[in-house]
Amino acid sequence: MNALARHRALSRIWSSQPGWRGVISTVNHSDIGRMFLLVATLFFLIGGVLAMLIRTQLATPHSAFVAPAIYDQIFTMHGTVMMFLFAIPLFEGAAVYLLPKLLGTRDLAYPRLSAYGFWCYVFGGLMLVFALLAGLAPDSGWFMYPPLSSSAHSPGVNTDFWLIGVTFVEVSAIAAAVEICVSILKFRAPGMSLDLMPIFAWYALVTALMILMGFPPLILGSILLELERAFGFPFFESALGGSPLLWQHLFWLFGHPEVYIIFLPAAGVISTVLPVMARTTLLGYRWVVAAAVALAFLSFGLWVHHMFATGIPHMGLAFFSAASTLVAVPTGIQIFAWLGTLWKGRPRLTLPMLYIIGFFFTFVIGGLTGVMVAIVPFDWQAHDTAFITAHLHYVLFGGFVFPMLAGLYYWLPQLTGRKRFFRIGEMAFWLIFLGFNGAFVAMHWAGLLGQRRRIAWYPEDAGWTAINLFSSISSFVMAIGVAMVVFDIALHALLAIRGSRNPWGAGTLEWAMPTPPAAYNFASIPIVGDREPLARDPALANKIARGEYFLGEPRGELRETLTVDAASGIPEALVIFPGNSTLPIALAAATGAAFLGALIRVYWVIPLALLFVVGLSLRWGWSQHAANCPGFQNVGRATLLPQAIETDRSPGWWGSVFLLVADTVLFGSLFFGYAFLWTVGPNWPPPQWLSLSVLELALGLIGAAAAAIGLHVAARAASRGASLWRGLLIALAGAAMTIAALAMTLTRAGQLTDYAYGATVFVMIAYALIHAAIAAIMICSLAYRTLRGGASCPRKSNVNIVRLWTDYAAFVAATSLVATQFSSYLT
Amino acid sequence: MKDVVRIVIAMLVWLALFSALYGLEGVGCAAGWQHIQVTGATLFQAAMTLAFFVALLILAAVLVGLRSPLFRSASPFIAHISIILAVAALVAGAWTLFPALALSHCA
Repeated sequence: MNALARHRALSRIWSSQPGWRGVISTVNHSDIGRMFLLVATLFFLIGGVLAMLIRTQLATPHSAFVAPAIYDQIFTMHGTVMMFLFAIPLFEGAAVYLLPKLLGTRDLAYPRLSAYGFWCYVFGGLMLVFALLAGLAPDSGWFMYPPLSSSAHSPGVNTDFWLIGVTFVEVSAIAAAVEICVSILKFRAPGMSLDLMPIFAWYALVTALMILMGFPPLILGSILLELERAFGFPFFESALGGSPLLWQHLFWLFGHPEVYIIFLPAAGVISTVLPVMARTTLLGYRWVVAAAVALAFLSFGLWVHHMFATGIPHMGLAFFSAASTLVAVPTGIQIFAWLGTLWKGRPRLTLPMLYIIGFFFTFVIGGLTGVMVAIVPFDWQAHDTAFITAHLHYVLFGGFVFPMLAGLYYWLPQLTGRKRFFRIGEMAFWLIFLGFNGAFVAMHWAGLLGQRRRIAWYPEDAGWTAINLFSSISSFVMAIGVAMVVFDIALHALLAIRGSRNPWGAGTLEWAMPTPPAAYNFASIPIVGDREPLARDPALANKIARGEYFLGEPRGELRETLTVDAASGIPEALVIFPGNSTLPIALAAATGAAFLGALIRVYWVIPLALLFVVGLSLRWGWSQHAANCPGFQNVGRATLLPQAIETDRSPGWWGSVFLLVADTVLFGSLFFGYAFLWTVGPNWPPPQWLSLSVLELALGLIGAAAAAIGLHVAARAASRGASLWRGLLIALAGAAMTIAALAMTLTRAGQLTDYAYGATVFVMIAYALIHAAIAAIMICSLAYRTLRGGASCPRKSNVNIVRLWTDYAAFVAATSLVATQFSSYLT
Repeated sequence: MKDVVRIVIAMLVWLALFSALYGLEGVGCAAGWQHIQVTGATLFQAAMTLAFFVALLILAAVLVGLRSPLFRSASPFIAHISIILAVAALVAGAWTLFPALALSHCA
């Protein structure tokens, strides 16, 4: 087969359907990535318009531009849109589009999950846009602090839109994070060991792990606050044993890592683009990787620095102040590595480089003001002033938007296959750079003079008038610059001439393919022996096109790629991806219906929608089922590999591990909340404790142990090729006992609206019950497959996946029962 | 997977210890340990001081473990990064938990 015939065959296999059917049924990562990027950009423009409305309001004292109630909605939605609907999805879009190309593979680990995540993002975003247009937008600030956001002070549906819409969007983020982790660790080109991975992949891996650890506390907080608003469960009400500070803890457990979740991908872009612009390699690759990992973990130890003004004891303040100053060290290591890279190379002043210089200037200022507010006495002075607003914009705009614009112009030729022709981008850069610094330097100043953040107007004699007017004019200059970027990109995409394949002379694999890229990325999956394989072998692209590497001969209509050993990059298994499907959008719609039911408080919709979710999920899983065992397959270069679903640890197992990481963090956060109210919450202890029931405890613990042991027995039987039935029946009996015990405890949780204790016990037990039910459904599904499939080969991997979930459900059930049943003895 | 664990383990232990000491401070203050005298110091001071040194000991043990042939990665790259991060975790432990020695009260 020649290169052209191979291209045609692979294009037929991997392409999405034409027209609108393609939009709703595509599962191809390039399509999904482009759609993510486009929608995130639209939200950036919406957030930008809201910012201009804020600056118009503040341009003059006593402004009558909008009423305070509308102004509250505008600034809340500006923060919400930029954080949840622009920054994170833009990273997801960039990662979804770029990672398989950088890693030398044909798609991400779970193509349908990419599509599901995208549609959850779109539907959740639409909820918030609808709220904005209907005048029902959230108005309590993007922190959503109770008691301001509680039903007593925000009685409308506005806050519910935030809690439910943002949580729906976070489902998308969790899905993308699982996908990214597994893709980076398992779906790489053969030979690409961890030390040969492109630096962007390291940053994306660290960021995805942070999403898995950072988002669950906010998801939990949103669920608890919605339960309080809808049903009166008093988690955040001091008079009833709750605490508004619990919300702040849960929010900032997410909120501070969020800053680094936004910054780290941008740092990945800098680490990728800057060496190419300097015509050299990245200085201190190992140190940069270590700094990114250290930064990620340190960022989880900073959350209380947003709460310095809440009356926390001095020692607690000192812990978090010390951690906040320490975070400057790994950040500094990266900055110096980039400066060193420039020093050792021969930099050229291209447009991406201009944006990188803009990044250096603004981000370093943002970092330094960050160290200032890490110092408690200064923070007490600047807290909740415009100084903080200016600081966070220097960090986020400097640390994210400038690098992403550098990345946009860097990868634009790859995305479009066109050569940059129009020179509007340079002028746009200067407008953005000067406008941004004008707007936010002034805001620092106003803050230091005492201007509070989020105020709708200020008096004439405050002395802030000229500063605010200057800031507003500058922000409009910046907005004109952003509009010019959009215009430049549109002109480029529509009118620019065809360009060469690798215009920057880069060494990474995304340039070793035709541009714009074909749906299958690589005609054959290359073997990698260098961090910059294209620099090492300039003929690599032609060799790939000629099918000289793995899977160079298309087979039937199969979408094939390889998995590798996570550390060494040695090929492990053959993966056959599912084709185009409307299942992801249907599942996202069903998920959305459940969220919508909660929003409009038509609660019968929720179980109905969840039934659809379960049904579609089972259909999703079932479609991966293969009754036959094809055994070892020839993947080219005289290599035989098994199919991934025949291995002990299939991609589904890996995905379950990372999803359970997020789930464990959510459970840990719930436990933290329980312990927090217990030790720090006001008006504790409760008037009545849950009494110990030996029957419930014994039934639950024995059931949990039986479920875990049963799956262990089934897994052993599967590895020996013996019957699974004995293990499955033990597990099913165990799951039923656990469900019964948890249900009994749930009914005794007490008066849920009278005191936070009873409500917390209820949520903890309900969480365990849901997981026990999930485990039971999975065991039943496995039993049904065993019944239908007989001795089918994928069962080994299926048993191991169900075993993971059952072990986790057993752990959660046992922990929750012990923690609640013995609570009266722990006082 | 083991190499991924080697990379994250030291900072993960730091994060766990950091959270544990912050939690211990909350528990100690809530339980009134600052009012209980134990051989010239308060129970709160004694507990926080002990916890500080135990935390450093654990972080040092992680560093020693990652350098030992038993747990060291066969990949020089992973071994190097995991040791850098173990040193970073030890330094982070000393720096961020030092207030446990310097500010032993619940004010």
